[in-house]
Amino acid sequence: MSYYRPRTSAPPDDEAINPYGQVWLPIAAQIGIVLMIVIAIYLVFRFLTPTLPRTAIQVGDLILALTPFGLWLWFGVRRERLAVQPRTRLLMVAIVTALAANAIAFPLIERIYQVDRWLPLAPTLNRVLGYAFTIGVTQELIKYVVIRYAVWREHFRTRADAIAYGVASAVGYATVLNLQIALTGDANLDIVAIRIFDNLALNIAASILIAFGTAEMRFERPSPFLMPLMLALGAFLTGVVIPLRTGLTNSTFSAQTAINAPSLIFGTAVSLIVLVAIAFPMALLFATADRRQREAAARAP
Amino acid sequence: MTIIEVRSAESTELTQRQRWSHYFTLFYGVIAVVIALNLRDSTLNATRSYVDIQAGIRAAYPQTWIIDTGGASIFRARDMAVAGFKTTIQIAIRPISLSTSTRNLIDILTLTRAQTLAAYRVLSQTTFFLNEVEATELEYTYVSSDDNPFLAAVPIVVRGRDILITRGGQAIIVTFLADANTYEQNLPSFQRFLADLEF
Amino acid sequence: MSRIYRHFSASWRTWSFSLALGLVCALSASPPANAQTLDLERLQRSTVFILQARATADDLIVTCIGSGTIVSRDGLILSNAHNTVIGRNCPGETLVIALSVNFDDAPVPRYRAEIVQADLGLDLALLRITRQNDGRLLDPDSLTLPFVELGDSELVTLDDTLTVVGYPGISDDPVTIERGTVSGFTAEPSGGDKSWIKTSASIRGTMSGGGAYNSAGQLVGIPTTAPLTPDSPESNCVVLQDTDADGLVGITDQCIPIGAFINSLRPSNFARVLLRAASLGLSIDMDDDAILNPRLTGDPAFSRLFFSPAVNEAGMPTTVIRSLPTSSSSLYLYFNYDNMTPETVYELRVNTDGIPNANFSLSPVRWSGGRRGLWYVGSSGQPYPNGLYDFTLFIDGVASATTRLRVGVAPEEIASFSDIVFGILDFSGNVLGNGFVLGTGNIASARFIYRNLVDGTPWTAIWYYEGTEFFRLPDGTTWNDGAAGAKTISVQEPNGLLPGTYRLELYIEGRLSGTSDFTLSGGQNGAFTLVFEDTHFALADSDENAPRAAPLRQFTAEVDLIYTLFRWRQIAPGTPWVVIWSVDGDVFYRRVIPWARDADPFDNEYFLMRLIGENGIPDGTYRLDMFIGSVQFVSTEARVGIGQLPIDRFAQASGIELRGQIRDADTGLGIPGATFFLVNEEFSASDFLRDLSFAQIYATATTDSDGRFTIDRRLQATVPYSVVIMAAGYLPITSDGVEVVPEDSPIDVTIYMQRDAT
Repeated sequence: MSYYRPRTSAPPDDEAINPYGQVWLPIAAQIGIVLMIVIAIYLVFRFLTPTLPRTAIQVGDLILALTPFGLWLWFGVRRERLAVQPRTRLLMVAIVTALAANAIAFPLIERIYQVDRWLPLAPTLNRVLGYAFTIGVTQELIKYVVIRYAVWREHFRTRADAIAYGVASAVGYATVLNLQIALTGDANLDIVAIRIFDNLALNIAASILIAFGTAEMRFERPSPFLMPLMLALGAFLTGVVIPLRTGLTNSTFSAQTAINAPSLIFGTAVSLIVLVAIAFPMALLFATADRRQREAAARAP
Repeated sequence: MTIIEVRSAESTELTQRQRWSHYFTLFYGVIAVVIALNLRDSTLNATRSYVDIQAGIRAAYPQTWIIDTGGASIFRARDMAVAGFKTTIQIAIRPISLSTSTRNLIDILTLTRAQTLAAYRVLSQTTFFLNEVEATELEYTYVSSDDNPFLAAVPIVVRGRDILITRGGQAIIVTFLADANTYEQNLPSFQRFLADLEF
Repeated sequence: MSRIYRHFSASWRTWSFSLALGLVCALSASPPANAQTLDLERLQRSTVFILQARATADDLIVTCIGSGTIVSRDGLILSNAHNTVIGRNCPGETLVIALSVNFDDAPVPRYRAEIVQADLGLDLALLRITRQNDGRLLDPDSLTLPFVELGDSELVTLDDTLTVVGYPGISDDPVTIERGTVSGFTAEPSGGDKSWIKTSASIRGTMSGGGAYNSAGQLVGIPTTAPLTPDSPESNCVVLQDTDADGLVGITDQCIPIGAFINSLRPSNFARVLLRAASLGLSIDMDDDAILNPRLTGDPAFSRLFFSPAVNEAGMPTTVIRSLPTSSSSLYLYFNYDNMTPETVYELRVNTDGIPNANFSLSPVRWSGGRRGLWYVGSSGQPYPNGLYDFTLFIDGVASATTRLRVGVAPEEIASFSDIVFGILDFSGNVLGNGFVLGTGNIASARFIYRNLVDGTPWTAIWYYEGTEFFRLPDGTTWNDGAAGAKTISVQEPNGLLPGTYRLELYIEGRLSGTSDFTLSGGQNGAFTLVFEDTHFALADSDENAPRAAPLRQFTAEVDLIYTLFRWRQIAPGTPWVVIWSVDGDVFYRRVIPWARDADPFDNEYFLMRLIGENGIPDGTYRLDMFIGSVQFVSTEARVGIGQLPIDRFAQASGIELRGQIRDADTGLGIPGATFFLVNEEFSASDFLRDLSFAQIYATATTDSDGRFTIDRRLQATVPYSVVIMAAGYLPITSDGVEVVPEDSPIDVTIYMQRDAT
């Protein structure tokens, strides 16, 4: 059920300027909450080392896998309905992306590209390029195609719509990834939590780049090569982050240490840094472009 | 209450730029798939050369496999990164008399392997030409298990293919062994090895 | 207040005293600073359970059982001969080896083995694992079994701590560890003063063939007892299977003989000979007619029991005594034996004042002597408490002979003869020669010491040839050579004394006072005896051509058969002839062989021995020593290749064991099929990843279905290895400069590998 202010009185000034839902704050809230959950679970498992029954672990993993989606539903979809002119296809974009990921991306990556067979042992440059052209391109192309055909033409009203739908697509893709982790194996909650954050952060960061491209394509007259470039950048970001994250966190071997385990929490830090490093400049770019567009509209007769 | 959103009428027709941007993006996606497949193939199919002047053998084996020239066979390469049975290509040379036929050689191999390999069974035997040299291809299976009696290793069904070539007083046995479940998937590596093999 | 003070003061004193007492107890209970920690797990894994079985149409019938110890990584197992070699009591031809996979469970049959070396008399056998349990052939080089090293049993001393490992049950009990100390040593002619190590550890009969270890974890003894035959009154024989297929398991079925509790260990130095031959693949071959297998003329028997306080270098008693003074620590029981075979089980039970004395007893063991002769069992270095000692010898569980001796008698100056030696007289009347092996001739002389004799005392000397008396001094002979000194007597045969074994017994007033055996063999060469001549080595393509081949002392590498030839003089059939072969100073063949050939060779006849190498005779300096009795007559050498054995890089059981589990970092589950590489110190991990050559690898291991692995080769301390761990789909783990310390052995690690992309 939606609630709207009556039109019998003049709308507040901010509403007149921005009748659409916010995009950056929900992203920040989502990421912030997931990060806090990750840190909390990590600290509990590191210092208290609880032993949970298998059923509890499985249920916990499932809940964690769906947490980003749930948070997005709350901060993204639900709050969107409070806007004056809400975005109506967020959920659809998320679901279609999730389905496309499961039906196209994963089989392509696992059975055709078979990344497990050749990338882990390859040199660093080959790993970057390999992940960029396999996982990166597949991931971003699917998101781009879903957005392009589902909402880009008639539902992009402002640049912020690109961000919102981009994030929806990212959340959908990441959720399928997270469900895969949760449903295979009996990983501990701290491991699952870390992986979930990593997937979410990387997907959102890459989606922001795609969103910039789709927004420019919709509202400006950019070079026709801009969108492929942004797609390539998003893919390259994936290609860099995956080896960087695993390389920084990979365990070493010491005969004096009884347990040689990777420091996955450092990967979380890497993912967070990458997301912030992408989000802030892109937010600035979006704001600049928006302001330029408003000024141009104001000058128009 | 129904909300009526009034917007200025905008054309939903795509501009030329938008259209081409989209095409270029899709084209880039296709190119990326091709590049990815090429990267995969070049990495998986990358080879390293091996030369044994004394034995008169020149071969190219997969680059990520580990080579062992110190054992009973003059050349052995194994893919140590795979789980389960390590896919193996090896070359052995056996002295034979001039009157030993390929049939005799196969019988000797069968007798020896039946003594040492569990559930050894010959599947097929065909004659063909390898680089203009007459060769016999022998397909077989057996069950392999870890020799360490203290580890809980599950036995694995192995499928093998021998290429037998007799020349002078020698029998050259080129062997390919792989887990039966991944045999077809790994066979191209052996076929490329055979194509590059010179002796 | 003062009352409170007094209360607390008393409490404080009590507490401080208790604390001090507790500290003292704790400190005294802590191990000494230089105590070494045994790797018990390695010892347990190296201990196997052996089932000897007989194959029927559709079943395997277990015939004998025992324990064994793996002594090489490629599957050599040391055990007893009585339960592994086919014999009257153990007729099975199949040997099944069971290992302890889980220490809490019974052993699991895994392999089949064959006998490669055996000494029935010493009751030692060396087996080699040759097949899987399903009968498939095994390449020994593919085995990487845990094994133990042999320690020097000569260094074992009284009160040393021993750890004994073996299987106490009939294949239903897990491997067991018993602890005890060295309580003494038993002497026999076959091995000298340390023919047996006695222990206080409680060792059950089925642990026979297992291992006894010193504090450094080295094998120093093999618990040994021979079960009595099933028809012996004291036998312990267990029926397990319905061997006669009558549907019932009962007395009509074949039983498995189980020995009684063991307190005797065969010193490991006896096994070293067998192990060296087996590990080098060497064997000595002679024609069947070279070894005399005399026919038995009756039941085995012991007779003529007497005591001596010491044994001379020829194994003969120094003198004969009837009592021992207080604080004596050396005593030997001598006795004649006849019709004995290596399958005969003999036992010595000693009671002191009617109470069984395990320290001086010998539990039932296989006979390690010949068919007939003089034997002794005794000990030195162990004080004999005062008392009346009863010595009873048993053959196959039946008492055969008994005697007694009192210890604690005041030293008496009784008349005695001692230290008999034999030789030929020179012109000055001195006895010349080596003392116990004389060349054939007309006269044999004996010189002995006498003490406390009184002129006029009746005495006599009796000479025996091959157990038959042939000369004695006339009846009524009295002593007239004074109270103490040395006397020489001779025996003469105009037709010449025949080659063979002789004995001299000296009596004082009808009481045996001195006795010794000697051998006549060979010809006299001045003061020396010449028994063997023209001993040389040769290469030939057949036995027929060997005598004509040129003598050689240097052989090329990879030769696989070397002939040794010699001629001999005057060796009587049955004369104990000792052959010892060694390589680079280590003995690999030692046998006492009753001579079977004619006393003299025909013209151009040579005795042939073949030194055979299974895989070629390894490089080394080979020496042949030959003895008649205890007197050496031949020592000759030949070199093969560079004249030195190659170093066996796997020979060391010492080092640090590394094992562990490789798991998925996400799921926590073990990763099957992951490979752990230990790279040699000369190469780094990146070198290995670049070259991917097996030649750079020190050791490798692959994980099982649970992700567990064990490195098949022990690591050396302070050596900087590199480590590479690979698994399909996972990011490899590399590390350089990996060092281990001995105190950490075995090292158990858990390694988590992460997938590159989720």
